[in-house]
Amino acid sequence: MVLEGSEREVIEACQRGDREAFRILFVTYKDRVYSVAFRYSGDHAAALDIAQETFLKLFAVIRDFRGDSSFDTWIYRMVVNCCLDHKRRCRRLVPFADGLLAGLRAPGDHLKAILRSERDDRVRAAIDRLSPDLRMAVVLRYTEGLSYEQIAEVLGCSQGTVGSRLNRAHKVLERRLSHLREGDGRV
Amino acid sequence: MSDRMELILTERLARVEAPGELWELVRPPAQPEPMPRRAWTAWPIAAGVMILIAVGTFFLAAKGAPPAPRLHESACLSCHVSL
Repeated sequence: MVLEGSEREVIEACQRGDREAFRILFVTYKDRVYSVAFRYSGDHAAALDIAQETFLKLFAVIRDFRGDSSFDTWIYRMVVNCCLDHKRRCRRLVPFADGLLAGLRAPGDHLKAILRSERDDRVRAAIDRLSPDLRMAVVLRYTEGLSYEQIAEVLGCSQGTVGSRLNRAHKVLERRLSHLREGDGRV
Repeated sequence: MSDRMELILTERLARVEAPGELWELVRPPAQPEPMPRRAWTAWPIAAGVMILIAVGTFFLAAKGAPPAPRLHESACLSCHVSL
């Protein structure tokens, strides 16, 4: 059992159908779930869909959680599966239109914001072009700060595989973002 | 992997805050209110009253109706009504 006392109580209350416990669990995990979904999909609408699906699935199957593994791992595994399912269901054409609309909406005197947004977009685009396996490893590592061991548990692979995926992702990103100058990284 | 790239990824992939509307999308539905006990006892009472009213109406209608005329009486009346 990896659960702490209070969290275990909340989960047990959820398993009994306590609505307040559901709310507490939601507040505890909402940012983590949404962040993984957003950093993986690169799109707020898609992230909202994924987060919604994750929580609905979580509340539906929480009775099945026995506490044999970490609840964090369990919920990360769920959001990862929802991300992969969502990606399979719809090919995303939105970011291009989003960027275009953001540019059109931005007032002319907000040049700095536009430049920053452009640099963000480059990083995001470089990450978006990674394969799903590499991208998810990068998101779990840099958005959630998980260790190789935790990532391996969430993705159901060995730590060696995680290391290999992150190494490949790093090389690809180094190449794609080599044009960013030293100061560009911290706008 | 350079430190600069680590920094870029850490900054650009930082955790974000979930929108407030998410709770509205996932909130579990409220449990249906249990039906009050009164409502459960009202149904059999209403059914019983309806049966009593139906039986009473049938009984009164049957008791108050005039006896049916016999066949030969009807025949005489129809043949000799003009006499």
